[in-house]
Amino acid sequence: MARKKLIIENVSKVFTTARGQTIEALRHVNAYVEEGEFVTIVGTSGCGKSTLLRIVAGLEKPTSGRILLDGKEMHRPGADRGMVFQSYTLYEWLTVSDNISFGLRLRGVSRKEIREKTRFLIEKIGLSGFEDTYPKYLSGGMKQRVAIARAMANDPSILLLDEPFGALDAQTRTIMQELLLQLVEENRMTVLFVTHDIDEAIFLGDAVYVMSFRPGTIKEEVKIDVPHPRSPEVRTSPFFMDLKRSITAAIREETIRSIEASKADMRRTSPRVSGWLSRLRGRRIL
Amino acid sequence: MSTRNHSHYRPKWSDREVFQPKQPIPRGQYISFSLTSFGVIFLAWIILSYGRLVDAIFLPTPGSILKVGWEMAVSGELWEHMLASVTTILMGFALAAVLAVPLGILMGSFKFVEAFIEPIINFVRYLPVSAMIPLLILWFGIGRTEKVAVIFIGTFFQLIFLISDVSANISKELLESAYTQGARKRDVVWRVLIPAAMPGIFDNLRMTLGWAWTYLIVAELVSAQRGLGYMILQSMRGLHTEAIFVGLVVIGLLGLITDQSFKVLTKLLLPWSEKAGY
Ligand SMILES: Nc1ncnc2c1ncn2[C@@H]1O[C@H](COP(=O)(O)OP(=O)(O)OP(=O)(O)O)[C@@H](O)[C@H]1O
Ligand SMILES: [Mg+2]
Repeated sequence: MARKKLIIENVSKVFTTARGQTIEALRHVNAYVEEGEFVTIVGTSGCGKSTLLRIVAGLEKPTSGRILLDGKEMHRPGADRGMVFQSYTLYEWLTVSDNISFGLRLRGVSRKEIREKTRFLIEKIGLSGFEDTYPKYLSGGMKQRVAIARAMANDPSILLLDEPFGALDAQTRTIMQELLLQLVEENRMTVLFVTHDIDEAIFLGDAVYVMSFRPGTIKEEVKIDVPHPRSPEVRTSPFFMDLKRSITAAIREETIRSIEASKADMRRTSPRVSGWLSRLRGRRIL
Repeated sequence: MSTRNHSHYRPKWSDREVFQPKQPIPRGQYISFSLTSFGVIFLAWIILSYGRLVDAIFLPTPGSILKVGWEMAVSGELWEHMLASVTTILMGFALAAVLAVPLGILMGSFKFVEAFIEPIINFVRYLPVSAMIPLLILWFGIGRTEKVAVIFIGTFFQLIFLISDVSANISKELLESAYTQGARKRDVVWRVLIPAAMPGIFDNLRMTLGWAWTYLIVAELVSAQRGLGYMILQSMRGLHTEAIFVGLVVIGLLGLITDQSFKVLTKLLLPWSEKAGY
């Protein structure tokens, strides 16, 4: 069996809002990613996917539990856990190639090496000819491709992606998934990928973790035994369809709970307002 | 086979491009609209002044204004006042900008700085600087120092607030993405936070420089020995209406020039910004 590259050990996270309410975002999450494995986490909106990934990246502290990378406990963010965010985070003032080499330049890598590496990555993401273009001229899909290349440039031990294709249209999204898969297969990368899109989770993942909603826990772990390289035809195979059906059922419950919760959130008005409302109701105005 | 038939549809007048909200119109059309409004006002002026419908003391003719302006330029009087005003503005504004930009960035990025300076700034910000002119005259006299102080106080407290807002609104994920690439705090401030804030800073500098003109003219109208505001006031006292108009035109042109130079500067220094256009 392959070595466990990343271990998420008993991670819990409780947020306290400015009003003093507590939100239990994650409870006792246990998960791992093996060397060279592509693991996806799928869950309904608001179930704590971003929170979990941010804890892995070191951008957020867990309330309890720990993150182990190659057996070492992680406390701070670093280039060994490259991250691609849900929103566009390219640096507008840097060209495509300067965006990609941002981390390399910080570390004082030689000019020659920077040039070679950025050229290689730009070709890989299919943006040759856009080296000196500023991000404002790029489409959403192109921006996320640069963001992926930027994270890859630092040779991270693991690549973390938080719904990187969430803002793209369906056609672009499938193309991007195939491109990412190809990049990962060619470079034998270890990946942790978060999404709410079940198709995406199955097509990309060697293993899929299904998350529950509030508190976010791992509800199910599904191995996807489809060898690499994966062709787009996998998406329509009976095996894929069966998996999709069972994961959809599991997530559906959580989504219904999340909708109930958001209704409850809306009903939960401040004490002063609810006092008012009840008085009005007492007078049969409402 | 049936095809959808639109041939009977007759376009109404309101279907034309010009009447579609937010629809761009050809450049030539745009310019002709702009020239029309300008032309109408100019024509009205010519009729009123040359037709002697309004007394020249209230509305001089364009020709006489040009003549007086030329004379003032040749005698050097105009340049003296212009130079005085421009130098004062640049001094006051530069001082405000040099201090407000770094402080604003700090205030927007660090909560403790915000807690420390926000109360003072919020107090002064709602105090119209014109109300402080008498006090400033008492402190600094009616020379340049007082004018610089007026401009400084009028713009500094607004600028610091606006710039702190710019830097507070920079997405946290932009900074976090730098951390995940191995950046240290210092790198994040210098290589991400500050460049990301630049377009917003430029925008606000441009806006406050416009206000600085207003404050300066007010200060010069209250009390001064030179400057464009002073020149206008003196002209009013002597009923030299032409000279008043010369002053107004010059102030307007200077405002336009500074504003346009900021635009050009944005294009030159921040070509990557959305504000520089495509
Ligand atoms: N800084 C914070 N303070 C308070 N609550 C937070 C904070 N960050 C996240 N939460 C809450 O934690 C829960 C999980 O949020 P998270 O962003 O991780 O969800 P998500 O699964 O990524 O959702 P989405 O699919 O919409 O991106 C949500 O209920 C959210 O409101
Ligand atoms: Mg999220």
